[in-house]
Amino acid sequence: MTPHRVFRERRSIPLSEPHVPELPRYVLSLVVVAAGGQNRSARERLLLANNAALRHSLDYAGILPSIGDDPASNATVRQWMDSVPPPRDLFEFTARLLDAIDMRVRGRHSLLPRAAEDIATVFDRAALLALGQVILGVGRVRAAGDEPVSDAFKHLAARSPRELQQLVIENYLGNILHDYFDAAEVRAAFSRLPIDTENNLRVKHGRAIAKAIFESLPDGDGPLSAQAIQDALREIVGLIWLEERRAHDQDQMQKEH
Amino acid sequence: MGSSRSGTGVTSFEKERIHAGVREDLELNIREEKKRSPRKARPPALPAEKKKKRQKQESTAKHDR
Repeated sequence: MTPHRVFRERRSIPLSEPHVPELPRYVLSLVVVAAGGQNRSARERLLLANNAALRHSLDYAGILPSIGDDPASNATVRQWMDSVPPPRDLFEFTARLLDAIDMRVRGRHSLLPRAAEDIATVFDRAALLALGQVILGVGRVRAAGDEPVSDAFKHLAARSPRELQQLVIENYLGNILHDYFDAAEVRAAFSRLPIDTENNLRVKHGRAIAKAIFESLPDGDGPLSAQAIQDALREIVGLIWLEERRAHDQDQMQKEH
Repeated sequence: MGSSRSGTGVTSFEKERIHAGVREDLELNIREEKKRSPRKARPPALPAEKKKKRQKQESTAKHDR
Protein backbone atom coordinates (compact mmCIF):
# COMPACT_ATOMS: atom_id res chain seq x y z
CA MET A 1 0.00 0.00 0.00
CA THR A 2 1.44 3.36 -0.94
CA PRO A 3 1.70 6.11 1.71
CA HIS A 4 -0.75 8.13 -0.39
CA ARG A 5 -3.47 5.52 0.08
CA VAL A 6 -2.85 5.34 3.82
CA PHE A 7 -3.40 9.10 4.14
CA ARG A 8 -6.59 8.92 2.09
CA GLU A 9 -8.18 6.21 4.17
CA ARG A 10 -7.55 8.01 7.47
CA ARG A 11 -8.88 11.43 6.60
CA SER A 12 -12.10 12.40 8.29
CA ILE A 13 -13.78 14.76 5.78
CA PRO A 14 -13.91 14.70 1.99
CA LEU A 15 -11.24 16.86 0.40
CA SER A 16 -10.66 18.04 -3.13
CA GLU A 17 -7.52 16.67 -4.77
CA PRO A 18 -4.53 18.17 -2.96
CA HIS A 19 -1.42 19.04 -4.94
CA VAL A 20 2.20 19.71 -4.12
CA PRO A 21 3.02 23.30 -5.06
CA GLU A 22 6.09 24.01 -7.12
CA LEU A 23 9.00 23.88 -4.66
CA PRO A 24 12.77 23.65 -5.05
CA ARG A 25 14.08 20.15 -4.39
CA TYR A 26 15.93 21.14 -1.25
CA VAL A 27 12.65 22.38 0.24
CA LEU A 28 11.09 18.98 -0.48
CA SER A 29 14.09 17.39 1.25
CA LEU A 30 13.77 19.73 4.25
CA VAL A 31 10.13 18.65 4.70
CA VAL A 32 11.05 14.96 4.37
CA VAL A 33 13.90 15.28 6.88
CA ALA A 34 11.71 17.26 9.30
CA ALA A 35 9.02 14.61 9.00
CA GLY A 36 11.52 12.04 10.24
CA GLY A 37 13.58 11.14 7.18
CA GLN A 38 13.25 8.25 4.80
CA ASN A 39 13.78 5.52 7.35
CA ARG A 40 11.14 6.34 9.94
CA SER A 41 7.79 4.63 10.27
CA ALA A 42 4.69 6.35 8.86
CA ARG A 43 3.43 6.99 12.42
CA GLU A 44 6.59 8.78 13.48
CA ARG A 45 6.70 10.67 10.20
CA LEU A 46 3.26 12.08 10.69
CA LEU A 47 3.96 13.68 14.07
CA LEU A 48 4.85 16.78 12.09
CA ALA A 49 1.15 17.06 11.21
CA ASN A 50 -0.50 15.36 14.15
CA ASN A 51 0.97 16.93 17.27
CA ALA A 52 -1.21 18.34 20.05
CA ALA A 53 0.55 21.74 20.19
CA LEU A 54 -0.40 22.39 16.55
CA ARG A 55 -3.97 21.19 17.17
CA HIS A 56 -4.45 23.63 20.06
CA SER A 57 -2.75 26.46 18.13
CA LEU A 58 -5.14 25.96 15.19
CA ASP A 59 -8.19 25.70 17.45
CA TYR A 60 -7.28 28.86 19.37
CA ALA A 61 -6.44 30.78 16.16
CA GLY A 62 -9.89 29.89 14.78
CA ILE A 63 -11.62 31.32 17.86
CA LEU A 64 -9.54 34.52 18.24
CA PRO A 65 -11.63 36.72 15.83
CA SER A 66 -14.84 36.05 17.79
CA ILE A 67 -13.47 36.90 21.23
CA GLY A 68 -14.20 40.63 21.21
CA ASP A 69 -11.92 43.41 22.38
CA ASP A 70 -11.70 42.38 26.04
CA PRO A 71 -10.27 38.87 26.17
CA ALA A 72 -9.74 39.11 29.93
CA SER A 73 -13.52 39.07 30.45
CA ASN A 74 -14.08 36.16 28.07
CA ALA A 75 -14.75 32.89 29.92
CA THR A 76 -13.07 30.71 27.25
CA VAL A 77 -9.91 32.81 27.30
CA ARG A 78 -9.81 32.84 31.10
CA GLN A 79 -9.94 29.06 31.01
CA TRP A 80 -7.14 28.95 28.39
CA MET A 81 -4.86 31.22 30.41
CA ASP A 82 -4.71 29.09 33.55
CA SER A 83 -4.26 32.25 35.70
CA VAL A 84 -6.53 34.98 37.09
CA PRO A 85 -4.96 38.47 36.67
CA PRO A 86 -5.73 40.01 33.25
CA PRO A 87 -2.74 40.55 30.94
CA ARG A 88 -1.47 44.15 30.69
CA ASP A 89 -0.60 44.05 27.00
CA LEU A 90 -0.76 41.73 24.02
CA PHE A 91 2.83 40.62 24.49
CA GLU A 92 2.05 39.32 27.98
CA PHE A 93 -1.25 37.85 26.77
CA THR A 94 0.54 35.91 24.03
CA ALA A 95 3.33 34.66 26.29
CA ARG A 96 0.85 33.41 28.87
CA LEU A 97 -1.39 31.83 26.24
CA LEU A 98 1.50 29.90 24.68
CA ASP A 99 2.75 28.83 28.10
CA ALA A 100 -0.76 27.59 28.93
CA ILE A 101 -0.90 25.49 25.71
CA ASP A 102 2.48 24.01 26.55
CA MET A 103 1.22 23.16 30.07
CA ARG A 104 -1.87 21.57 28.55
CA VAL A 105 0.14 19.42 26.14
CA ARG A 106 2.28 18.24 29.07
CA GLY A 107 -0.70 17.56 31.34
CA ARG A 108 0.17 20.34 33.81
CA HIS A 109 -2.72 22.73 33.11
CA SER A 110 -4.91 23.22 36.18
CA LEU A 111 -8.23 23.58 34.29
CA LEU A 112 -7.91 21.85 30.92
CA PRO A 113 -7.11 18.15 30.78
CA ARG A 114 -4.67 16.53 28.39
CA ALA A 115 -6.13 14.11 25.83
CA ALA A 116 -4.90 10.54 26.31
CA GLU A 117 -2.88 10.43 23.07
CA ASP A 118 -1.30 13.91 23.45
CA ILE A 119 2.46 14.05 23.87
CA ALA A 120 5.10 16.78 23.69
CA THR A 121 7.05 16.66 20.41
CA VAL A 122 10.00 18.42 18.79
CA PHE A 123 7.47 20.38 16.73
CA ASP A 124 5.83 22.10 19.75
CA ARG A 125 8.20 25.04 19.60
CA ALA A 126 7.40 25.65 15.89
CA ALA A 127 3.64 25.40 16.55
CA LEU A 128 3.58 27.71 19.59
CA LEU A 129 5.91 30.19 17.95
CA ALA A 130 3.62 30.20 14.89
CA LEU A 131 0.56 31.11 16.99
CA GLY A 132 2.58 33.83 18.72
CA GLN A 133 3.76 35.21 15.36
CA VAL A 134 0.17 35.35 14.11
CA ILE A 135 -1.25 37.06 17.22
CA LEU A 136 1.54 39.62 17.45
CA GLY A 137 1.80 40.13 13.67
CA VAL A 138 -1.92 40.56 13.01
CA GLY A 139 -2.30 42.47 16.32
CA ARG A 140 0.45 44.83 15.04
CA VAL A 141 2.74 44.54 18.04
CA ARG A 142 6.43 45.35 17.74
CA ALA A 143 7.49 45.51 21.41
CA ALA A 144 6.13 44.73 24.88
CA GLY A 145 3.64 47.39 26.03
CA ASP A 146 3.32 48.63 22.45
CA GLU A 147 -0.34 47.84 21.85
CA PRO A 148 -3.24 47.55 24.31
CA VAL A 149 -4.91 44.14 24.25
CA SER A 150 -8.26 45.66 23.15
CA ASP A 151 -6.77 47.40 20.06
CA ALA A 152 -4.89 44.29 19.04
CA PHE A 153 -8.05 42.17 19.34
CA LYS A 154 -9.90 44.61 17.07
CA HIS A 155 -7.25 43.88 14.42
CA LEU A 156 -7.62 40.15 15.02
CA ALA A 157 -11.43 40.39 14.79
CA ALA A 158 -11.07 42.00 11.34
CA ARG A 159 -9.57 38.78 9.97
CA SER A 160 -11.49 35.60 9.20
CA PRO A 161 -10.88 32.53 11.40
CA ARG A 162 -9.56 30.57 8.40
CA GLU A 163 -7.19 33.32 7.46
CA LEU A 164 -5.65 33.17 10.94
CA GLN A 165 -5.52 29.37 10.79
CA GLN A 166 -3.78 29.50 7.41
CA LEU A 167 -1.28 32.00 8.83
CA VAL A 168 -0.56 29.59 11.70
CA ILE A 169 0.22 26.79 9.21
CA GLU A 170 2.32 29.14 7.06
CA ASN A 171 4.40 30.25 10.06
CA TYR A 172 4.58 26.71 11.47
CA LEU A 173 6.03 25.37 8.21
CA GLY A 174 8.28 28.42 7.88
CA ASN A 175 9.67 27.80 11.38
CA ILE A 176 10.30 24.12 10.65
CA LEU A 177 11.91 24.74 7.24
CA HIS A 178 14.15 27.41 8.75
CA ASP A 179 15.16 25.20 11.70
CA TYR A 180 16.16 22.28 9.46
CA PHE A 181 17.86 24.59 6.97
CA ASP A 182 20.03 25.86 9.86
CA ALA A 183 20.58 22.36 11.26
CA ALA A 184 21.82 21.17 7.83
CA GLU A 185 24.35 24.06 7.85
CA VAL A 186 23.37 25.12 4.34
CA ARG A 187 24.40 28.77 4.67
CA ALA A 188 27.86 27.76 5.88
CA ALA A 189 28.33 25.34 2.97
CA PHE A 190 27.19 27.65 0.15
CA SER A 191 28.72 31.11 0.18
CA ARG A 192 26.95 32.13 -3.06
CA LEU A 193 23.49 31.52 -1.63
CA PRO A 194 21.16 34.52 -2.23
CA ILE A 195 20.55 36.60 0.89
CA ASP A 196 16.77 36.12 0.74
CA THR A 197 16.94 32.30 0.85
CA GLU A 198 15.95 31.95 4.53
CA ASN A 199 13.18 34.53 4.18
CA ASN A 200 11.85 32.69 1.12
CA LEU A 201 11.53 29.52 3.20
CA ARG A 202 8.85 31.40 5.12
CA VAL A 203 7.18 33.87 2.79
CA LYS A 204 7.40 31.80 -0.38
CA HIS A 205 7.64 28.07 0.30
CA GLY A 206 5.87 27.85 3.69
CA ARG A 207 3.14 30.07 2.27
CA ALA A 208 2.79 27.97 -0.90
CA ILE A 209 2.31 24.74 1.06
CA ALA A 210 -0.18 26.40 3.45
CA LYS A 211 -2.12 27.73 0.44
CA ALA A 212 -2.24 24.27 -1.16
CA ILE A 213 -3.52 22.79 2.11
CA PHE A 214 -6.35 25.29 2.48
CA GLU A 215 -7.29 25.04 -1.21
CA SER A 216 -7.89 21.33 -0.65
CA LEU A 217 -10.29 21.99 2.25
CA PRO A 218 -14.03 22.75 1.95
CA ASP A 219 -15.09 26.40 1.64
CA GLY A 220 -16.94 28.17 4.46
CA ASP A 221 -16.87 31.13 6.81
CA GLY A 222 -16.30 29.66 10.25
CA PRO A 223 -13.11 28.11 11.58
CA LEU A 224 -12.06 24.74 10.22
CA SER A 225 -11.58 21.91 12.65
CA ALA A 226 -7.93 21.49 13.56
CA GLN A 227 -8.26 17.80 12.71
CA ALA A 228 -9.31 18.57 9.10
CA ILE A 229 -6.35 20.94 8.64
CA GLN A 230 -3.94 18.43 10.18
CA ASP A 231 -5.30 15.65 7.93
CA ALA A 232 -4.69 17.83 4.87
CA LEU A 233 -1.20 18.73 6.10
CA ARG A 234 -0.46 15.04 6.63
CA GLU A 235 -1.61 14.28 3.10
CA ILE A 236 0.57 17.02 1.58
CA VAL A 237 3.57 15.83 3.61
CA GLY A 238 2.99 12.33 2.18
CA LEU A 239 2.83 13.70 -1.36
CA ILE A 240 5.98 15.75 -0.81
CA TRP A 241 7.67 12.59 0.49
CA LEU A 242 6.76 10.78 -2.77
CA GLU A 243 7.82 13.72 -4.95
CA GLU A 244 11.20 13.98 -3.22
CA ARG A 245 11.75 10.25 -3.55
CA ARG A 246 10.94 10.38 -7.26
CA ALA A 247 13.35 13.28 -7.85
CA HIS A 248 16.07 11.44 -5.94
CA ASP A 249 15.50 8.21 -7.90
CA GLN A 250 15.64 10.12 -11.20
CA ASP A 251 18.98 11.59 -10.14
CA GLN A 252 20.34 8.18 -9.31
CA MET A 253 19.25 6.82 -12.69
CA GLN A 254 20.91 9.71 -14.51
CA LYS A 255 24.14 9.14 -12.58
CA GLU A 256 24.12 5.45 -13.47
CA HIS A 257 23.69 6.13 -17.21
CA MET B 1 8.35 26.31 27.48
CA GLY B 2 10.09 22.98 27.43
CA SER B 3 10.40 22.50 23.66
CA SER B 4 13.68 23.36 22.04
CA ARG B 5 15.59 22.99 18.82
CA SER B 6 17.63 20.16 20.29
CA GLY B 7 15.47 17.65 18.40
CA THR B 8 16.43 19.11 15.04
CA GLY B 9 19.07 16.47 14.45
CA VAL B 10 20.11 15.99 10.83
CA THR B 11 22.21 12.98 9.82
CA SER B 12 25.12 13.40 7.41
CA PHE B 13 23.15 11.46 4.78
CA GLU B 14 20.18 13.84 5.11
CA LYS B 15 22.51 16.83 5.11
CA GLU B 16 24.09 15.67 1.86
CA ARG B 17 20.65 15.19 0.33
CA ILE B 18 19.63 18.73 1.27
CA HIS B 19 22.95 20.13 0.03
CA ALA B 20 22.54 18.33 -3.30
CA GLY B 21 19.17 20.02 -3.75
CA VAL B 22 20.60 23.45 -2.89
CA ARG B 23 23.48 22.90 -5.34
CA GLU B 24 21.01 21.95 -8.06
CA ASP B 25 18.88 25.04 -7.30
CA LEU B 26 21.91 27.35 -7.39
CA GLU B 27 23.05 25.94 -10.74
CA LEU B 28 19.55 26.34 -12.11
CA ASN B 29 19.44 29.97 -10.94
CA ILE B 30 22.80 30.69 -12.57
CA ARG B 31 21.64 29.13 -15.86
CA GLU B 32 18.41 31.15 -15.80
CA GLU B 33 20.31 34.32 -14.96
CA LYS B 34 22.59 33.74 -17.94
CA LYS B 35 19.58 33.22 -20.19
CA ARG B 36 17.97 36.45 -18.97
CA SER B 37 21.06 38.61 -19.36
CA PRO B 38 23.49 37.09 -21.85
CA ARG B 39 27.00 38.59 -21.75
CA LYS B 40 27.50 41.45 -24.16
CA ALA B 41 29.82 40.56 -27.02
CA ARG B 42 33.26 42.13 -26.59
CA PRO B 43 34.03 44.95 -29.04
CA PRO B 44 36.39 43.85 -31.79
CA ALA B 45 40.07 44.30 -30.93
CA LEU B 46 41.70 47.44 -32.28
CA PRO B 47 44.33 47.01 -34.92
CA ALA B 48 47.86 47.27 -33.50
CA GLU B 49 48.57 50.71 -34.97
CA LYS B 50 45.44 52.29 -33.53
CA LYS B 51 46.18 50.68 -30.18
CA LYS B 52 49.64 52.24 -30.03
CA LYS B 53 48.24 55.62 -31.04
CA ARG B 54 45.61 55.48 -28.29
CA GLN B 55 48.15 54.46 -25.66
CA LYS B 56 50.35 57.36 -26.69
CA GLN B 57 47.42 59.79 -26.46
CA GLU B 58 46.54 58.51 -23.02
CA SER B 59 50.07 58.83 -21.66
CA THR B 60 50.32 62.39 -23.05
CA ALA B 61 47.06 63.28 -21.42
CA LYS B 62 48.40 61.95 -18.10
CA HIS B 63 51.56 64.10 -18.35
CA ASP B 64 49.51 67.18 -19.13
CA ARG B 65 47.47 66.66 -16.00
